[in-house]
Amino acid sequence: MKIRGSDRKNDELKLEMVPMIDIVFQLLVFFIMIYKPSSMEGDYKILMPSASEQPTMSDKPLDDVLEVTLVAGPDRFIDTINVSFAGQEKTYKANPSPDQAIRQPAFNSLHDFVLGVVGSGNSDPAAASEIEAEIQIDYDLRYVDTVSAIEAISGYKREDGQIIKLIEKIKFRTPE
Amino acid sequence: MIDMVFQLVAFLLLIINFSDSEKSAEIQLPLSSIVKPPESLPPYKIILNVEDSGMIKFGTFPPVNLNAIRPILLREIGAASRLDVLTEKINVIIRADMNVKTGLVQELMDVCKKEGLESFSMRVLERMR
Repeated sequence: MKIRGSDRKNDELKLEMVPMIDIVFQLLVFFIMIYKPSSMEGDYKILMPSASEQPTMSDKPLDDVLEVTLVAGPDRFIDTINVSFAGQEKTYKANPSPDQAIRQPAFNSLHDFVLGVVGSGNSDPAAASEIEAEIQIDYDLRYVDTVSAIEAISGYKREDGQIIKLIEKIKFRTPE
Repeated sequence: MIDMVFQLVAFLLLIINFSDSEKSAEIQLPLSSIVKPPESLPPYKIILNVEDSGMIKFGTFPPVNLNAIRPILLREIGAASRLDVLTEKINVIIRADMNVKTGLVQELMDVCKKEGLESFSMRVLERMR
């Protein structure tokens, strides 16, 4: 007569390694296939005048506001940058080419103007300039050129990789 | 070897960013050298993707035009208020295509502003050297 439980050893669950390894390898291949290394994304903070505020009014004294106007040219690329601060006014003409490198000198000039106004900047974001930038942009201007202008105003990257902040308070002037 | 493979699987699981579902793959973001990924998360965020065509995409919903974005904003503002997040604390992140008209982005900001949203971020891609 067979005693119940006498062959328990034979009933023990065996860990099947081969299917497990198969599954793990399939998982590994799946994740390697879907992994897509990509650049990191970052943000520029933008101030918008509140709805009740007049479109061209700023709460800062006029001497503390850097006014920038971006004018679109053919094919909606940047054509002219007008900048003014505390009585100084400059106009930079750009070559409205689809090639970013050809348009870049106008943004570099804007950056140099901002550097002259703010100084060499500060690596501490909390200590960035109190000067506020107000940007008026042509409706049709390509967004890439708007971002280039904001970059020129916001700061720069030093050779050692450190980011130097110039103007952090950037406001869009409400389209008229 | 099995240990190694398990570690690889765990590593790949960790680095896969599942929040990408909020981003629209068709959008070509402008590049910038001086931005870094945000160090802290806002209490509530609304990511609006502005496509080259001018259509606005939110989450996994189909793209809509500017006139149809208000109901989406109101629903999100409602969801934020249920989490005790004030409307002015909601961060609107605009992921606009590099070729989109800037005026459209400004109009989108205006629509958001009319609903009481005040915090705006323009998302760009970090330029690799």
